[in-house]
Amino acid sequence: MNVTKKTYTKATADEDFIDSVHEVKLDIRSHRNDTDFEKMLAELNKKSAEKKEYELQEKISKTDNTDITDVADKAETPVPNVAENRQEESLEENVSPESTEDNDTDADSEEKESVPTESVQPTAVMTSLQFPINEHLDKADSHADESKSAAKKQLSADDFKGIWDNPDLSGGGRISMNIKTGYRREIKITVPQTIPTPEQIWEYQPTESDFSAVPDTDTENVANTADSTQSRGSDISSDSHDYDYNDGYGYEEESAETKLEKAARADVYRRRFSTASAVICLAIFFCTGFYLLVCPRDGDFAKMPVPSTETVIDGSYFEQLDEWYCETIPNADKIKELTDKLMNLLKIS
Amino acid sequence: MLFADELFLFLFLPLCLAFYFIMPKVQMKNNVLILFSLIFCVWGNPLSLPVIVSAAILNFAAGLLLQRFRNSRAAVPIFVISLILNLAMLAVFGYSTDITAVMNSFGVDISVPEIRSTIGISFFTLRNISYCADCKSGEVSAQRSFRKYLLYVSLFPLLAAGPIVAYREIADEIDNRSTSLADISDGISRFAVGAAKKLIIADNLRSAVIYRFGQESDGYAAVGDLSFLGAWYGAALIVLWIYFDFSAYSDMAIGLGRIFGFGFKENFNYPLASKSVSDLSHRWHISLTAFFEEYLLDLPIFGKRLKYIGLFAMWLLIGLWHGFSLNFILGGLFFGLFIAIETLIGEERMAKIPSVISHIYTKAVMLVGFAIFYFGDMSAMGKFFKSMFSLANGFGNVGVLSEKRFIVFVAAIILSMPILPKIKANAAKNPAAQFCVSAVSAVCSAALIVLSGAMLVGRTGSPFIF
Repeated sequence: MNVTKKTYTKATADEDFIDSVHEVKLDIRSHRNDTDFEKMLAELNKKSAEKKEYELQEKISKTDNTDITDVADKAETPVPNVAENRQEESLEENVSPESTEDNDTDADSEEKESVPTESVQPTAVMTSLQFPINEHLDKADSHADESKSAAKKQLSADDFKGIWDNPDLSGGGRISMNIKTGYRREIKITVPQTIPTPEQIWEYQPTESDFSAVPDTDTENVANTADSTQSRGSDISSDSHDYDYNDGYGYEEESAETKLEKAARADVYRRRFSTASAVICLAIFFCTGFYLLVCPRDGDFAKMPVPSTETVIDGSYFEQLDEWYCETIPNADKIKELTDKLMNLLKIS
Repeated sequence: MLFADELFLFLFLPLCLAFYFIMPKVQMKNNVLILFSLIFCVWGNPLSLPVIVSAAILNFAAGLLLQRFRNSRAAVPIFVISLILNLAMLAVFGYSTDITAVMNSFGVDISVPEIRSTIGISFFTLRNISYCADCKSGEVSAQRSFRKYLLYVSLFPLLAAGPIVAYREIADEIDNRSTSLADISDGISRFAVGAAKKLIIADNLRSAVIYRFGQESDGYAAVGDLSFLGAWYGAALIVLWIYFDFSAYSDMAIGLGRIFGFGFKENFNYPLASKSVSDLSHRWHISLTAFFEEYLLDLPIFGKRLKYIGLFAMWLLIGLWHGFSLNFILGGLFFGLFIAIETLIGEERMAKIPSVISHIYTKAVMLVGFAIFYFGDMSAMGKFFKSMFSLANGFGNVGVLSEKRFIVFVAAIILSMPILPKIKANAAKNPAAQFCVSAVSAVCSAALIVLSGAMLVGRTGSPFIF
């Protein structure tokens, strides 16, 4: 969840990215179905889930009467997977008819492929929620402004309460959050064993240093997101909040404070180096620029060209000036020789 | 004047930065930027000044009118008139030479005075059109200060080769922005990376491409005896050259924007890592694709039934935007065709294709598509594709591996993949690694500036592709 919070702090580019989100799909999976113990736990959880199913549905239905809840209401807690997949399809039909249009033909085959054997993965796909958002971006929508304000309200802590109440996630799990945007990204989030409540997550107020601890250039944000797209199935994207869900199994959970301290320390280094780098680069620009202004010029074009109305209008004066400036740099031949040697050494040119 | 030019690096930029940061208020900073942007414009071509100012006046007025008559019938004719005038300016001051050449080749004898292309006209025309469209739809409020609108149109980091930034994206920043030391540092680093990409990689790749194929001025002399292997290797060189050249300019523009407090959108997102042509279109020249998708593809006239017509129209226009020439039209339609096929197949089925196959398919389409863009001469293009898809000139040998610039080719492939961001992201988890990465980044930025500056000296700068 922290991923989005961090990106919010940066320039409008990131806000536009968020605005471009038109659909959010959540697949919640238990992540320890591979051991007998976990199978047993999952079975137990399933039984308790059946008891709490009614409660959960009630909680979901309590959320705001927006587009998001229209769809979320239809989501259900653990049900047999076949039924669930069918439900997913029906949801897709409701939500994005265009996207399903392409998939209708092979729906049956997909269904067969995607149904895991229940005995092997009893709670492999526990629930699936699909939220259409930012539909205000659709130009054809004549009520763009209304839906814009509605869409912005959609994703709130309350909307996710039902997920956290899911007993099957008590042992940890994986939320695959497929965010469809104009850029086609996917973000995967792993839920820690000690699941924080939505309030804990939303009330967590990161400090300025926490934001800048991660590489914060726009490129890196874009690249990180793109990376997470490629590493489907890996546990978590690089700049998310690192809850360690393995703490009960021999790993120590690192406290948030320690992490923040480390991040702050790293940020101090980063800032110092980047400041030094900026100062050096600016010094290079300014010192070289000043030197080239005052230094004696040599070469064939030692005299600065004189402007005339004609040469200024046809642009030739600027070309001559450009040529004069470049061709008369002192020791240009030696510098060229040096760079040639370097390039040859590196076998670049 | 180019970004990778001694005069720009060591005179124009330091002067601009000095005046910019001396000014205490944003409005005064804006005035400095306008002044330097107009100088930048005049330096490239003095005729650009009246053209760009006229375009700014026209669209500024159109914006005000569109806002006033937004909910009346008059809005559509006002928008259409502004659109026609913008496109007419683009045709006259941008493509007149190309249009005349094409018409003369069909036997129509037209002689028009040779007009030097106005610097960045294809970019600022799209920006102006997007502004008018947004004013019409109510996405933005029309700018009431001509000075500020002129800044948007003429802003020199964006002027020559984009990215195409919509007015709504920087409207707030024009009025209210600040620059921190971190912004300056990141901006300079980004600029240094762009300069190095251009001067060390792109220019060497360009030399390798010209060595292998020749160029338009010599009628692509070397393409006649290309082997099968040589053709594919050369096509890969073209893709990498165009990518590094263009993305270098975008990097420099984004870096400069950052220094001046603007947050421009990314224009490239590792396009060579894309797994489908649709994916490629959203990673390569993102701002251009986004412009056409938003203002053309989303038009209600295309709707669902005419989706594919809209798609082809969009890619035809993207091709034409690159230049009024047959190879650009063919190149645009070529990419449009594959995107249409992928749309037919469907996103989910495309996702099921094994990664290796999808990567090979996408790279093959890229190699062919960019080769179409490169060859302005149809007969040379024919010879090239003959070598590419037949063994008429033999298979070739692995002699390319001993070529001088092969190491640049390998380095370019590595750098075109999202490896560095991954390293940085992993390092961010560990303070010690973060320390090392920060130190190396700082040293590299300074070293790249020095190296790029040194490489410029005594050389005739090669222009940017766009």
